[in-house]
Amino acid sequence: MKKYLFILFLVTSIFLVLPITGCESQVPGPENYKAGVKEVEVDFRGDYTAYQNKPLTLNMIVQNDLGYSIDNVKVSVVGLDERYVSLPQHTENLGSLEGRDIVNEKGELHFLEFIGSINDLSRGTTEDISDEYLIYVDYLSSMEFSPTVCVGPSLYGIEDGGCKGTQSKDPRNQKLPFTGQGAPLAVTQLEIVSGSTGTAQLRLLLSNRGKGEVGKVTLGSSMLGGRDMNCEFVEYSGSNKKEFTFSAKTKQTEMLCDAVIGGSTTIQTVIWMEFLYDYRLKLPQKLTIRGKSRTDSQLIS
Amino acid sequence: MASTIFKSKQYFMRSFRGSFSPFLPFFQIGFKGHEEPEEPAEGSSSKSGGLPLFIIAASVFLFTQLFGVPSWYAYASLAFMIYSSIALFDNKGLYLVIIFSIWYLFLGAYDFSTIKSYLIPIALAAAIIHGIVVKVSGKGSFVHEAEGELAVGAFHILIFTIDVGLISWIIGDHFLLPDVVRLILAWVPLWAYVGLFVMLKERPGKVTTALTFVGIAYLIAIITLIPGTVEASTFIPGQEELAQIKERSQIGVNPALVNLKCTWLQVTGGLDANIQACVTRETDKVRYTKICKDKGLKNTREDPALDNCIKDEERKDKEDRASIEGAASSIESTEVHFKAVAKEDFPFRSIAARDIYPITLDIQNPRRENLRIEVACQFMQSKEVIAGEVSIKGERKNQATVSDPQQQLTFECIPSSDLNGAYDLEYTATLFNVKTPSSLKRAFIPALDDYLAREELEKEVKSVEFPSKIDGVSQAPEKDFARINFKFGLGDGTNPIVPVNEDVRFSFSVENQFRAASGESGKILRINSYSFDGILARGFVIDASKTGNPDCLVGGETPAPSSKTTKLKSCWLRIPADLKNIDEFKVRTFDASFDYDYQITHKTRNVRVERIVP
Repeated sequence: MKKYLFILFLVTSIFLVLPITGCESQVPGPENYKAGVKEVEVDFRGDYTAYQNKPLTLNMIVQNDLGYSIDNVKVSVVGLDERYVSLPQHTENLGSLEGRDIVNEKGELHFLEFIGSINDLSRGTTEDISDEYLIYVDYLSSMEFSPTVCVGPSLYGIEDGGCKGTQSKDPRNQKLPFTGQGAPLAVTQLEIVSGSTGTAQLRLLLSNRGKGEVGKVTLGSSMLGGRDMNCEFVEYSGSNKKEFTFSAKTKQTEMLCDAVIGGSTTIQTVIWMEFLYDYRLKLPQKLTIRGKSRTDSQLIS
Repeated sequence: MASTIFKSKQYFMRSFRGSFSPFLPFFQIGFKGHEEPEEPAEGSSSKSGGLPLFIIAASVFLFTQLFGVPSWYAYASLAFMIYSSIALFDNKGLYLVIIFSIWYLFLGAYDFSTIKSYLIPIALAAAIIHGIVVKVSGKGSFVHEAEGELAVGAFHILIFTIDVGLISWIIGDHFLLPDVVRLILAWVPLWAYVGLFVMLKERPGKVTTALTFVGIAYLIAIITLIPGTVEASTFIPGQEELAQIKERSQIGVNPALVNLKCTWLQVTGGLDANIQACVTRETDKVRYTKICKDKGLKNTREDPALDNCIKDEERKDKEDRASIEGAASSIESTEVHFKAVAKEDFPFRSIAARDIYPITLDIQNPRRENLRIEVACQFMQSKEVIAGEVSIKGERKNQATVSDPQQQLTFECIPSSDLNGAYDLEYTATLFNVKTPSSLKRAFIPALDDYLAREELEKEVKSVEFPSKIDGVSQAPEKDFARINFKFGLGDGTNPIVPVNEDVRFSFSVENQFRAASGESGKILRINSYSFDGILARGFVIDASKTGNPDCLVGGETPAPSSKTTKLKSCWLRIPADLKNIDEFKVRTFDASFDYDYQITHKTRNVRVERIVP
């Protein structure tokens, strides 16, 4: 009997324990929303084809896919030919849209609609009129860069009981690549050059990896291991060395930071940097405008 | 060789080097050698009858072209014809070509079309004289070698007719010879080539070879160096190129000479690296000179009037060309063309002094405009003009209004007085208040201080809104009779991207773009009105403080333009206030309307009336 009870206990235990361990192995860890390159997504659901003397509706859903909230969000329809399209309102301000986080995994979205009408075409127009235009999404946002790094004054990689940096011929000089921080603006490379007197110099490559255009970037705060760093853009804009303005041609820029590490051994520590930037996403669209006769013939058919 | 040139080998081979006529001893001088030809010395062609013909014909052709007297070449060509008959064909066909020459001098030069009536009598007279001469000289019967006389004579007449540019008379209006062939024939002195062929046959040598190279080079220059055909994969020029060549021909510019000059300039490192540009410039030079000479202007020490006029013409032309381009829009075109009625319904040859001459107007009116059409006709013979009376649908009226999208309007022309002989029948259709819309697209960009930012924005706007050049030029229906081309913007107004912080220059031109069918021509009779409605409606105003025409945006009756494209007016515009405060770029297409009267003319040649005298 005892033997049977033991087998039952064992089987029951196995059936109870296995699912728990199995579940645990499938439960994902907290997603890092501030990783990779992310964009604001625009799902355009408006008219691609419109007819003369008929209303025009341009619908779209704007969704913040970034790991950060975006502010002063403005959506504009630009470049529609006024001769053919009457659109009383070209711009809509959406305020702020929350980014993706543990509470809202998909990011905040907003539905918006531009309503207008198509004007009369010239008499005798036979071909469709193709009206190319752009949808602009402008916003302000921030981006955080917070990697854990190994810094220290260790010379020539001598084991000092602290952390180990990346494999490099010169252990004092580390080059770390990054894909992105959950935004279109990204730190794509960090180079740390540790000095022998408890200081380090950080060289960051800041890139626009999105489809749109980054405007002005401002460095908010910058710390290494809780101590402020002195950072400035190599090609800063105007007199403010913490500001840089991208152009359509500029895809990346460099920033240099001086940091005090303290101590005589290598330590594992955290960099904390925040960048504020403005951004414009440009989405080319095409509206096909058809004449009355074509519309009528289509309706008849 | 002869067999490849001439269809009737026997006649020509026998004719070549035959006996010399005793009745024309004066022609023997200098050509005696033909009776008993000597063996040619190597490298010499001096004894060939072809050499003098080649040299003289080529020289006369060059001279008449250079001095602009092509009619002289026609008279010289009569002499070449007679010479050829005597020297190259040993008098074969001589009587025919002499009688033909006499007829031409007294009658044919004025109205060549009468040859139809005279050809048989001329041929008969030639055959009779030939028969009598043969009989009297005891060389044979009356009809001995009569067929040779007529065949060789006819061949000479054919060469003459083609050489003096009467090819269209031979083939008539109903068979279209490709323009390129017509043009080549117009610029090739055929008698010189006949001489060259004979030299090749008789006296091959260094001189002959050298002259053959010259002849071939000239032909190549004519055929292949006609501008635009060298780089093309085909030797057949396109419509535009043909139009250019036609234009050159009409103003007396020899394409071969111009091309050779330009090729030489390029080879010697002259001014032009581009032959096409050189050809255009040289052609223009001749055209300006002709315009100014036609005005009777001459250079004097005190007043270089001719030179000044040429400079003025050049400047005007440049202004027009820089100007205001136009492209085809997607709007359907209004087209009107004359269309000949069935051949059997038209009395090309009539015995009635006042026959009925019908013609059809083919009208395409897809925009359903109310087209008011007035038709007229007249019969022309040399300097005499006989007016025609017109009836439409059998009624004596000369006007009709058409609003259907497609219609054929047949009208009949009856001479107001009796006809007798050959006439050119000219029909005209005048269309009143034709309306052709035009449009122009422009993008307005906000004022940006940062040059780089402005450049980037311009680039972006251009790529989205003006991917091709024609997106930024004035557009109008492709086949309408005429159109108004306009532009505005910075500088000369060509750039379609307009910064809103600057005033813009506006200008417009009128272009006659009628696509004439065979025998047709068209002209703008008058401009009734024009209005750039789109620009006015958007709030643009003329800046009166600046230079320009105050009626550049809207105007009434204006004299008809003289050339194909004529720049009419220009002014400076102020950009409306609301447009000055834009944050993003704005795009707008501006409409313009153009109201004008247009006249299409159609010529039917050689309408012939043969009256039967009771």
